[in-house]
Amino acid sequence: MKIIDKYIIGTILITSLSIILCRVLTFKNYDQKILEIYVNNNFYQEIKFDNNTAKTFMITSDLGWNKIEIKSGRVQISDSDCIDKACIKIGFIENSGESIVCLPHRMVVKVSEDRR
Amino acid sequence: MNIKKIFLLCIMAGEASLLFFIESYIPIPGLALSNIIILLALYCYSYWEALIILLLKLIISLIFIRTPSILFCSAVGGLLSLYFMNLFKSSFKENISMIGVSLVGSTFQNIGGIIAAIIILQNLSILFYLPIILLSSLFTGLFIGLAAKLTLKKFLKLNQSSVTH
Repeated sequence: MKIIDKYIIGTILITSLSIILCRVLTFKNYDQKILEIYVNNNFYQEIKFDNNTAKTFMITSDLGWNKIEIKSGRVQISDSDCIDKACIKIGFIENSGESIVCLPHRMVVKVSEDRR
Repeated sequence: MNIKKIFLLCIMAGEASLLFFIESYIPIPGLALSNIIILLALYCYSYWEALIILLLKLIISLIFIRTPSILFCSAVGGLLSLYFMNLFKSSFKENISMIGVSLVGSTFQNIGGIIAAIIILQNLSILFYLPIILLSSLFTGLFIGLAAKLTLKKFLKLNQSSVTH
């Protein structure tokens, strides 16, 4: 383990931990949230929800389908027919700015706050 | 460039493709198993042989990779990681070990993958995952570097006649 190795490990650790720290400190949980859905780089749908909304719906495109579930102010992709199922493994998102990405289906699901 | 070396490069390209195929079934983010072969090529030969193996691996992967987005992520990540691996290796020479180069490689492979995903999705949201992927690449880079370091001696012994140094 030479000297530059330690510098590299240190740089990666400090960079990633500081980004995570910045996120954790600036996470705000709003009551009224908007779920933005982008399919194929285009804005597809916008859904308002709060801590009491409970919804399950499907987003279908010619690349496949994803089932999105909104429960107690949190969003997750509960099922999908994509190949790697990475979008399901991410689990719940709830804070403003968080997002789930389904790369094979070119789909992005993003939570932002309701300013209107 | 003798015939034995050409054969060896082709076999290494096949090994890299096989490792790529296997790692598509392992759900760890940022595990670039084919970087083991790239590292071996970088340390036994030079940048150009490693580049040849990388390009051959991408061509062979066309056979079994169904989604073009995964291939694009792997291409961007692989080229970026190879460039920076060579940069760090040649500029730090004695002060960096194989593990450090491997860390650099896995980090830039993942950064390249995220850049490719941003290009595909036309959306910056995926940057949300950058710190987690960076941390994961730290561990996978250490693992890949250790694996390459352990196989280097045996590899050199087996291929003495076709290796430059």
